[in-house]
Amino acid sequence: MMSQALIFLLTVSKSDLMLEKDPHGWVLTFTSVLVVFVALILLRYAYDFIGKLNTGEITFTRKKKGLSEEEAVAVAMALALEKGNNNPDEEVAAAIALALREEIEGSVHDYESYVITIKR
Amino acid sequence: MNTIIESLQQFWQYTGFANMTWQHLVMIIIGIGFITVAILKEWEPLLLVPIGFGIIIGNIPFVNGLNIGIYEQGSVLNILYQGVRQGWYPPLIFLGIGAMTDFSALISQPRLMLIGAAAQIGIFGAYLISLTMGFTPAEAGAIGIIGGADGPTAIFLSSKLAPHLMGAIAVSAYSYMALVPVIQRPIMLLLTTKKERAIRMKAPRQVSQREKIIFPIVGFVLTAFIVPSGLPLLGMLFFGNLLKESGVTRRLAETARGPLIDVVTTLIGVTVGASTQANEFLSASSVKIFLLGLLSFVIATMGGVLFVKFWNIFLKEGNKINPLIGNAGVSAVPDSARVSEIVGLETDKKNHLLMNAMGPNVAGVIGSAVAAGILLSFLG
Repeated sequence: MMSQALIFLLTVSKSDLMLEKDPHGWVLTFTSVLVVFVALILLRYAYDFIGKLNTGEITFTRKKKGLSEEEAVAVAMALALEKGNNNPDEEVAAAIALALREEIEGSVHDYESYVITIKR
Repeated sequence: MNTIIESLQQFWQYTGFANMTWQHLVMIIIGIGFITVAILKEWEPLLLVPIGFGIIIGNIPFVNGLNIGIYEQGSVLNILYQGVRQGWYPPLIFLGIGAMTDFSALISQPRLMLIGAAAQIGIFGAYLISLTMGFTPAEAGAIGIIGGADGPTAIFLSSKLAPHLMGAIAVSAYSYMALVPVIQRPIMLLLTTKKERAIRMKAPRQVSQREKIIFPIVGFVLTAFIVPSGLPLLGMLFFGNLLKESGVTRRLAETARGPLIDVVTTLIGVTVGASTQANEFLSASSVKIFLLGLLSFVIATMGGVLFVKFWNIFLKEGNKINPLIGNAGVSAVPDSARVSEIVGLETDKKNHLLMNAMGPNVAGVIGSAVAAGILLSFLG
């Protein structure tokens, strides 16, 4: 046998039920406003996240540890010495150091001019 | 000779003149009024011209039984009206809206989405007032959705919750959407100071194509999971947008935002207009619906503007939001965003708010579809 409550639920419309439970409409209003806000707040944070991923503000790859300036110069000078230049020019060392740093920090671009100008 | 006179007399009985009442005349004048305003003022002409002419079609008096009336089962108008009655047209219009809307302004500043949520307060304000005026919860929900300032959403929800009020609700929604500049401007000026109106906002950042493609997919999944009852509207809106942004379905997107939306808008306008037959439309409840519709627009505009003012209390200088874009949260794309731009320029001729206002404006479309889904789950 069906309970009275179940018969009531099956025979009345949702609107009648709402009139019975929430005659002034405050419960529905509060719930609905809350749901609208929750839905759009979720969207807001989802797009915030996607935007940050896209602009590179958030990355999932571990950032490579770059060399310090002194280390880069030392490496550059060592490279120059190895190439047979016993007295490496300061400019050459600086150019090699700069290129090394950019390579290590991943800030090199796809296309380079291959011209490095150093202002004294 | 007598036979001819009898035939003519009999024919006379079938004419509109013999069956006309003053209510028919009033409705025909209203229809002509819609067309006049649409042509002379260019207020929502794509909607008001079909609706206005539809009102005239629906109010030509005739003798029942000819199977020509919109409420006569199987008549041509009745078949076309099923698209409204069963809620087929609104999702198709949403498909077109999705295919023509650029969500970049919203994607670049997702925080503006909250304004689109705040402006939905108009829907629920009207719902509460409708209940106190004696409407049932289902009727009140259908009336409240006028505050969403979205014609297809209003038609979709009223067809499900209160089909007998749909004509008045649809005409009211479209009328107030046409009157957005008239309704919103004084409210915006009343609620904001000159200093607030002069707030300058950062220009939205450039949005990548990848973000634009991800937007409809993530947006749909999130909102549809929260409110599955909004599926027809949200699904079509985001699907249309994916067609636009994917870059590989240009033909489908062009059809959705061109011929398809034009055909459906024409049909929805004419049939909604024709459904406003004098005996159904000219009633005390229609007058109440028009009044409540206006109230819902006013509350929605106030909700958006006041929410931004409240929010600004917590925002740092330089990051504040101009409250003039609060009105745009009511949807009515792009008219309410244009109102933000115009009122903003009145205060500072170099302060362009249009791109910033488009964010809450399109968020309002999503917000009103979500609100419709919630009302449908509770009352449908």
